Amino acid sequence: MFEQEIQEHFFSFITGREKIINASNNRIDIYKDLVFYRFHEVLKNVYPVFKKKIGDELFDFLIRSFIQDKPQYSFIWKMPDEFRHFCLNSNKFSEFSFVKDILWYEWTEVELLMGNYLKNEITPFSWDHSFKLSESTRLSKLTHRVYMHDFQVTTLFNTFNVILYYNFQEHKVYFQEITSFMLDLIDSMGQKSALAALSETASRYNVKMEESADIIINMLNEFCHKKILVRI
Amino acid sequence: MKLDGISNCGIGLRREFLREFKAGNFKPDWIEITPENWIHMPFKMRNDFYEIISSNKIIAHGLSLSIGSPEPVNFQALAQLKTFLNENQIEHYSEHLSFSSWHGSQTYELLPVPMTIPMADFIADKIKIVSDFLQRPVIMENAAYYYIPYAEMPEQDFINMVINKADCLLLLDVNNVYVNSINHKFNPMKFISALDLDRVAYIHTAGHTYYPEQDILIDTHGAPVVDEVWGLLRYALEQTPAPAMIERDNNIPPLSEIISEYNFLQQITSSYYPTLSKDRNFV
Repeated sequence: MFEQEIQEHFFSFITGREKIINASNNRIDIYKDLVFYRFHEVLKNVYPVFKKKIGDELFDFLIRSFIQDKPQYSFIWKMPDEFRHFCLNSNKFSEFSFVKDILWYEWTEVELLMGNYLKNEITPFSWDHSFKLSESTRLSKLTHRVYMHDFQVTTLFNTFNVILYYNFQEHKVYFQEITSFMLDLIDSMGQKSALAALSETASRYNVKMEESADIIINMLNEFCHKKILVRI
Repeated sequence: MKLDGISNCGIGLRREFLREFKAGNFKPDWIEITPENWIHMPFKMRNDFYEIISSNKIIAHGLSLSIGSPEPVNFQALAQLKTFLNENQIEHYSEHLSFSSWHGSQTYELLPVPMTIPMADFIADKIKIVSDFLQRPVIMENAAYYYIPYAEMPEQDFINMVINKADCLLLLDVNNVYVNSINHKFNPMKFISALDLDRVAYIHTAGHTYYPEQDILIDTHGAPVVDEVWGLLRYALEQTPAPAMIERDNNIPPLSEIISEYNFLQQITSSYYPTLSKDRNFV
């Protein structure tokens, strides 16, 4: 259809895939700007720290490149996740080693705020049951403490285990750093009772189970109270 | 043409004043919501939102249908929309006579379509498909546009052709008519008179912004409605006393300002709506 050829060219102009001839005072340019600002408005709100750390010029460049790269999500609120993956595949970040971490952190914060938590009742902790991270929690191993505004690599090959969780009282997202021991324990508690998981983890770390239990019980209670952990 | 349960004046519900709206005593005759903003919403807003929509008359006004795109209807997205409309018992659904995506690639912007007979046929067929799938009529809105990719007929003829071929209703946006009339230099009243006004389901009013560098008005929905648009609303109502509402999507002011504008809308429309009291005012 002849009309679709016209639309295709128009679309290519406004998304920057084709150059606009006589760009100054060309009204197609207005659409190019409108599309850019639509993306910019959403992305600067989702990734404020990322934007600040990489600078406006690179941020704007990435948005323009992303628009050219054919973003696919129908719903605009999910578009920033697609932008995140686009950035991670970009070769523009050789001097910014924290990019992957900050993009994960800022996107996850939004994702948790937008969650629809159908089952969000508190399940008290007990050693006899299995537990897993709740749907209002995310866990990642980061190489930078971006959640503490630290963007330096502290130790080569070092990682930080961090959980982000939705706080149902304050309707905010908080972070908590956890030890490797706790990370392995949580992982193991998904397959067996908390007590059996502790026994296995303590043995792996070569520590006494009873002493470990005394140290971590308060944290496990708190995790259940905050709906970070839920009983399976 | 009448919409079941919808009469007099409405407002667009926005996240920015959801809490205040629920807590206060402001009760517009009906509310318009954008499904894309509520299918996914902040968890803390869910209870307030469902309480509001279950106790008010609602029209859903979509943004992402992209009816003028060449690709087939996105049934996956449409199924999500249908579920939302059904679960919330929303009977009325409107969208824009425009396109925003190209073979799945998104701009999230309302883009102008070529105004030709084949395009009108193509869009009318898609409207019927969407309407059949959603099992409810689709109301189409005249869009603001800043550039015309191609036109073999005036916009009013194109709109009439689409809505008649699709046998659907029209959402008349008088701000869009005004913005287009300034940017493209035509008489907005003649434009409105030339439309098939029997098909008008309801009317949008909104604010716009002037950009001096490009010497253009943009339909920003980010400012109060101007006198010229109120005037155009009066003109439209003289010919078709359809329900009318105020849209505000950017620079959203406190709810009190929205209510003042709503009261003004009521004052204007009361002469045209037999059931609306001239004295009713919200504070």
